[in-house]
Amino acid sequence: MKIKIKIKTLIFAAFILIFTLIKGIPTATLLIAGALEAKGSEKASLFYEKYAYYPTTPKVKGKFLYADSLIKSFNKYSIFLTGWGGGENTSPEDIAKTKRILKEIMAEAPVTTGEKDYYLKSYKMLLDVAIASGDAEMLREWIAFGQKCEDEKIIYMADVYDGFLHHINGDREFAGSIIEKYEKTELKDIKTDILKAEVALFDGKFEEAEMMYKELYKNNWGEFNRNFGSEGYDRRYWFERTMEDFKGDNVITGTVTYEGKPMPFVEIYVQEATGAFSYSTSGESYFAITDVNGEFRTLGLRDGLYSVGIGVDGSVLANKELQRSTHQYVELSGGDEEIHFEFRNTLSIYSPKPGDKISGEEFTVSWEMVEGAAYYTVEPVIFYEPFGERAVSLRIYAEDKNGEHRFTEAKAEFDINMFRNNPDITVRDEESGYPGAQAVLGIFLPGVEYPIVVNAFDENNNLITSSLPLRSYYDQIPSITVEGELTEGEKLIYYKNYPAAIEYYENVLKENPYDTDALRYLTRIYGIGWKEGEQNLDRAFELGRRYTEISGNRKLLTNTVDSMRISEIKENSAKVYSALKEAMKDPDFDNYYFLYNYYIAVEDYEEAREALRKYDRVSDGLVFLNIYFGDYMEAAENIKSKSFYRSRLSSNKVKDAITGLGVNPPKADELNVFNEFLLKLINGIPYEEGKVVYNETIRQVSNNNIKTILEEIYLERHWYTEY
Amino acid sequence: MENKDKLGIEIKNIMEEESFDLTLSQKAVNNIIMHRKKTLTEKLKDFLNREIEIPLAPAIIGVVVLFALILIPKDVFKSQNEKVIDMGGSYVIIRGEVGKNEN
Repeated sequence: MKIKIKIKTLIFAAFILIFTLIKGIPTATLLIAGALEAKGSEKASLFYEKYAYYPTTPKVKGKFLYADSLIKSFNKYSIFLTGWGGGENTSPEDIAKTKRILKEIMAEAPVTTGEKDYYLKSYKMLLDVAIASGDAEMLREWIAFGQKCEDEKIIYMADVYDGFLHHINGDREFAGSIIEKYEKTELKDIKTDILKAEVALFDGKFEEAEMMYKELYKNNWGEFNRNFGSEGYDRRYWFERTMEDFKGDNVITGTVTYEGKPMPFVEIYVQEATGAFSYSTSGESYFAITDVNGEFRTLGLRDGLYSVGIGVDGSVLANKELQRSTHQYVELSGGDEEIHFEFRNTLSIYSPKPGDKISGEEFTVSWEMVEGAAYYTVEPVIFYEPFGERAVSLRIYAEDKNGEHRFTEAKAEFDINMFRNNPDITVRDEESGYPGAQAVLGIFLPGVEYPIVVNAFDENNNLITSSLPLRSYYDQIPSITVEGELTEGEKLIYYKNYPAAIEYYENVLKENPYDTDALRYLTRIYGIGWKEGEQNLDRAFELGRRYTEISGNRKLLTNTVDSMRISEIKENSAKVYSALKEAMKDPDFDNYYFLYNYYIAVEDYEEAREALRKYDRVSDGLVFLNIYFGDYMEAAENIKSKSFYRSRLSSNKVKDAITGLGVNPPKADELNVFNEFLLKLINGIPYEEGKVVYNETIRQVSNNNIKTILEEIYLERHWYTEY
Repeated sequence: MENKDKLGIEIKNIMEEESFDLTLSQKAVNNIIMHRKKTLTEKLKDFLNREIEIPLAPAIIGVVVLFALILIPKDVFKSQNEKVIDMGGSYVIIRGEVGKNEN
């Protein structure tokens, strides 16, 4: 179809088009970007990018808005011993892009007032990004750039950030001179005030700093975000919530390094060591920040047990692993303490590659050797829902063809049948209580991708590094997918249609009583209980024993009874004992924790203690049993052992209380009450009863050492929390 | 010179007198107008008022494509769905469609 149009109308239309191209398109792009940003869409930055590089856009404004859209906040990712999380998901690529754009802006020469404002904002952002990404050299370079500019606002910004840099490097006198220079001028803004308050705080003038922050918030509440590369300078509640309880004379010093090189501007957080972990989504306020040498010194803290964590920008975590053994509880008792955080490069896995598929029954994992590593472990990542959306996962130590799970070479070979034949995870569906498919079918199911992680440990079992960085993309993680399909019966299990699966495999057994798949799956389904109240241990043991006779595989039964509660073991002690006896014929039997559970169930506490002594980690059960048997010195050694999980119980306070029981023995009746409590604890006190049991016990006790131990157990177990 | 002008005026008057009741056909008028020399303004007006035929569909498509190319970022239809999961203490970002295994 054609239309007739006069040339003058056409020319008018062309004018409209040109106007639209010059003004309308950038305005529309900006409006779309703003709307997407308000909705929290990741696509906003694409429109800001379009706007920034459109020929008729004001360059400085456009590029600033684009850079700003890439960095949503400077909230830090917090890492504590007890937990980690929070922060902004800023990628290293976005940080690099932001730096490039902002540097491009710095090469512009703004003329209009509006452009000059955006230029100033861009300059400030460049300094913030340098701090957030831990780049001290870049910060210095751009401070020097600003100080050479002619614009007094840029010079002011450069000077204040220079003051901040000197402040964190301990030169508060220089920072003071900057504050003095600008305090009475019109250039002064919230940054000078924050710097002044920070200098006062780290000079130990807590009350003065608190007043300054309160006053600041009254006048500038909207401007606290994004100053000095952090979101953590809103300290109003921090003073009341934290500092009031922690203020003291001891300090924690230390370093944060990456492969031995200092990591500047890392925020150091301190929380009470309750075993819990909390973080503020709006930004944590720090107790110290690392200087250009990666060193820190906290504010003064009172005696106590503290959980010390660090906060870094999410982009900094890529390709790094934190040596877990180094970030732990710190106990202050009348003196200063040190703690060091060491980031390491991740190790490379040579085989498999991300997305590898295998058609056979074996696969090899090979990796890069790590200096100082005593052994390595290979850990497949198992998602609770194998075919569902990837969300909650767990990692298990993979045993190679020889049954080893610690490897001294940089290579290990695995047999898929071993994973399928020895299912030992008991993940349950939270809503229905049904066991997950992999609890019955084992892992490396056909068609399911299993990411592979390799960890390197030192001789004290401390993690040196891992193949999995603290921040990574799923599609870059080495993985294995076994080709093939589930059988008809396996599909019933996969879809958690357990009654149908039981019927199916019972029919298989009628035809062939020695069908190993049927024996294995039914042992697991009956043994774990396919649903609350739907357990048939008699049948599980019967079929499990038959499976052991045919296959010689002793692990199926022990793996199944391993998940039993102590009360269940008590009810089925004869069957459990026979399963254990069978399992212990295996020369490599090392399931001492289960053995401990068994002896606890049959109330043979001496044997239970012996089992735990052979266990490769020091557990709190061993500590309690040693206290129960009056072996206070051994119990005190236990809690200071490197393989004891760091908690409130590993403090000097508890150690002194335990050794105190040996030096000044409590009255016999109090000791009996305490021992009764310990037995209850060893047998398992349900969480909801913890507070009652604790209250009942402590009111019968006057001995201070027992009281201290009871109080610390009460706190460590979180019995004070009511849900 | 003066005599010559007087003659001219005389002749003009005679002609006007004689052609007073003369009527030209429309065709003759049009013919005269058509062969008259046009002014620049008239030429411009003629040009601006000239009608041209434009194929509607390609014109609309052309304008839409132009706007789309200019306005829409090229990666906007790429899936940018990102999901962050915790994998044993590591912060793993699942991009796009790799979020699940297909059975």
